[in-house]
Amino acid sequence: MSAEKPTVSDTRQQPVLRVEGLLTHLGPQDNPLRVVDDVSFDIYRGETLALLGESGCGKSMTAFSLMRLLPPGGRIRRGRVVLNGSNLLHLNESEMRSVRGGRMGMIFQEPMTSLNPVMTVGEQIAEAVHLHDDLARSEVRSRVIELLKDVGIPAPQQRIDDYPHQMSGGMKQRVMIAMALAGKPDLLIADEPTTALDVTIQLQVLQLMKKLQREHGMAIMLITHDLGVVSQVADRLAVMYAGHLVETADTRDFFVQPAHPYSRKLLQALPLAQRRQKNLSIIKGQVSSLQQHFTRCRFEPRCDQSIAACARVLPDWTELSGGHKVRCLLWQPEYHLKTSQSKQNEPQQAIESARSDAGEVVLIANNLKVYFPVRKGLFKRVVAHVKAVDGVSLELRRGRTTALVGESGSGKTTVGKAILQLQKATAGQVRFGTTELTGLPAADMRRLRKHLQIIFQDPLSAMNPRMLVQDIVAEGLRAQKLFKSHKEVYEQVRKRLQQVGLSADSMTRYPHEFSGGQRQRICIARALAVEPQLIICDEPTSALDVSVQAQILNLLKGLQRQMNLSYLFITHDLSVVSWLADEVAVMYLGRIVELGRVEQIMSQPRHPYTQVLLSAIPEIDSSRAGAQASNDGDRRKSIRLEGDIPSPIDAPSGCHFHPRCPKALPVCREQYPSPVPMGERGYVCCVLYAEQS
Amino acid sequence: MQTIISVGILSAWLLMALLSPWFSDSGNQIHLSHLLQPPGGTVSLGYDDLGRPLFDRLMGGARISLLVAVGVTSLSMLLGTLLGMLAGYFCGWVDTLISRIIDIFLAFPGLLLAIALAGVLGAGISNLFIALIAVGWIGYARLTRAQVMSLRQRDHVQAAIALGSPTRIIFWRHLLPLIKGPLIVEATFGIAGMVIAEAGLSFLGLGIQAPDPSWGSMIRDGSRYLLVAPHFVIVPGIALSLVVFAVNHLGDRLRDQTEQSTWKSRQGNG
Repeated sequence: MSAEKPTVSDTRQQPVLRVEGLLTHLGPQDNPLRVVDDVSFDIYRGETLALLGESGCGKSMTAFSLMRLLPPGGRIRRGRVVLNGSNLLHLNESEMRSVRGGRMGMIFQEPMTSLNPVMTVGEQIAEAVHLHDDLARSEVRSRVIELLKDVGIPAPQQRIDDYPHQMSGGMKQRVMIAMALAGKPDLLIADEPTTALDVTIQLQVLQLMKKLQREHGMAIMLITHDLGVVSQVADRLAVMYAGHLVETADTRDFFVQPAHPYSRKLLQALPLAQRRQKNLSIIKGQVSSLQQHFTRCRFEPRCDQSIAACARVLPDWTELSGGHKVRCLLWQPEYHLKTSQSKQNEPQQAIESARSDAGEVVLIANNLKVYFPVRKGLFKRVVAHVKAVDGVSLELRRGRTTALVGESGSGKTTVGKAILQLQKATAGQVRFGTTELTGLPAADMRRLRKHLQIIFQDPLSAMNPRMLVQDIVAEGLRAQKLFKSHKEVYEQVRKRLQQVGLSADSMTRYPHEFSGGQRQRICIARALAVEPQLIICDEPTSALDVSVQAQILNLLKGLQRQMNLSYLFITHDLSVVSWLADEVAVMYLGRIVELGRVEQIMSQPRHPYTQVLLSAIPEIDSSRAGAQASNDGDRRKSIRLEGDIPSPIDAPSGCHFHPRCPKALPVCREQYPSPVPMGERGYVCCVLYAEQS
Repeated sequence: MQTIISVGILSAWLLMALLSPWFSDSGNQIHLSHLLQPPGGTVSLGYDDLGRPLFDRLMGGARISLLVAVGVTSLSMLLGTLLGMLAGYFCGWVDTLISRIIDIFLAFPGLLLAIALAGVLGAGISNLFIALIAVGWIGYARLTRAQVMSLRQRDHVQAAIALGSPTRIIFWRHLLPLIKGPLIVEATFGIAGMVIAEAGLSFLGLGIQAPDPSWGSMIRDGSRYLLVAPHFVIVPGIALSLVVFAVNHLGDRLRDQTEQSTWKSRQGNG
């Protein structure tokens, strides 16, 4: 097995971690899953290596193997894990314990569940300090405060006695990092550290990790599925597919010229503004079962460039340039492949673009408000209101997509539910055509629901686990009494499933038998069955992998053209917005702060919050972005936002955004700015523009 | 092994109850010569203070306890589930009303309330039913209400509402199938409770009236002769304990099974 050669700058050093030929099995002895199969890599001091891959490809299992913290049924069969000269696989359990959290620290995806809710964060960090440092009591406390200061928690002397629930998600992740730092690790393993966080908070945490790395010189192994995060913080990356590394490269080289067909597909599946006119590239089929012992390229069945030899030979590493290596036959000299030819593989079918500007208005929400009372005390008196939605107005047009963008807690989901009358609005109107929906009698509303549908974020919880797929999809047909006979209903169900790309034999199966993407297709089929005019898509792709997300987005866009659907697309992902939406509304703490055409918002965001949101998205920086890159230049300077989203119970006075706003003026504290018209139908709520006009 | 024994005991209980009509006459026949006779070499389990054969009376008691336990449990479950679903689904004043009623009933110890009710209503099997159901429905209502409250927030229920499904369909297809597991487990333990409750009320003379046999009244009658004829108490006592043990054991198994299957399905989905 070829251990990796150090890159030029590192030649003097020994790697901090060297993994050689790691093989990890999971499950029964006789027929195990080879979750990590022959994985080798090095990480050097002060370097960040990203392990990139989609869910189920073995990234986390690799990390657990390094820590020797495999779940029950998991075992390391072969290989070496050498941390600073000592092979961890030869240590006994008590020696290993001192390595974990000592020389090797780990942070997890869910800071919410990784902290003990009944201990103060200070006690929990002190525990970690105590295990690895022989300090006196008073010294421990000052060391904890020092650590909290290191990870950028304001007023650490006070926050040290806080309990986890008193902290926000970003703060908790900082505490987790502080705990990992307590043992002064040589290597920090970060397993999807920012996946559960909002983009502005994600940026803070990533920058913190880079800063700590510079100060302490530790190596970081970053496990992620997010190409944007990789491009932002990683020095080198390794792409993992089906338990196997298929490509390693310097981050810059990788984004300029990804070599493995899988890597290329991943990049092409990203929704970007410049791909608006095309369908996104998708990867056909599914990941092969890991129960087999591979004697061929494991991506071959899904690869659209495979050659006959791919099905016979297990490809070995081919070095392309310094440190850029790939496991693909196409790059081996004897199979001669012109790289230029392989690059041209984005799908060609163009989607007709310029649509006549304004569609007919399907639904209008006017000054919509949803307040939740906060009750306290013996008599449950209403002491305050959570203003989840505080005066939102929207116009949704036929055949158009309006995106509603905002961080968690901004009230975007509540807007969707209030429009559908799934959540009672406190005030405001929702007019569908000529009908006012708020206060409509239940029976009339039930009939109207045929025209208004919703798709949820988690397709599994959106389906009754005890119902067959055919009955799930037929639910609306039956509820609306659209068909008389059973035969007719199932005929329609079959047609809808076909439309979303599922075969008829899925009708008599249960939801848990499907993969995430297929489940979302079933939910889409259910919504389509009643032939609605408007579909509210509540983060329909945020639980999905990039390549699956591409399939669902293609499907949604195709259906919109076929059936002239209107979408209200609720999301936090601005890159999806730029590919799919026509109009964008940006929400902050229950109010829309900016609304406009997608091109305008994406290229010239006006509101400081929109600017911050856009700058916080780690965008893939490569020559592929081409023409777009130059005029995007000014907004790519990432604006770091301090602090967290305030609670909607006591929103800041004046403009809600002013405590975090980099451009705040004294007047912002006093009153909420009135909307300033921008372009046709667009507006922005910010005093900066009121002064101009 | 324990499970096989439990199933065996329950089958015996069921068989006794089914065959009891053929023993009802002989169970009331008085043999003065056999007064308080302990169990002998033949199949006989001995005789009671009026010279009636204990075995035949035990059969009659099995019928009553089965009838009361299963009948009361199913009726309480029906009532409790319905009220619990209404409270959990509609919230608002419906929930407040039902929850307050539950609170009021919970303020009294269960069996004590049943005794009080039976005392007021008078003895007899129909009043026994009323008294026990009045106490029994509360557990099911609370369980159902809590489950429905969390289920109703799930997306598939929201989706059903968004599709315009009528409320009864949502109850029937989206809520009941998902709460029936815990309800059935609860009901199994409920049956054991009701066997004891029936025996308890009959012991106090508030349930089944003479000359009809009941395990509870047999124990009461026997307690007066505890020193001279211990078999009079021991025979119905053992029958009662065996049945309660068997039902509880199967309830435990059932609970483990349902928990395991939910755990498994979660794993599969995860």
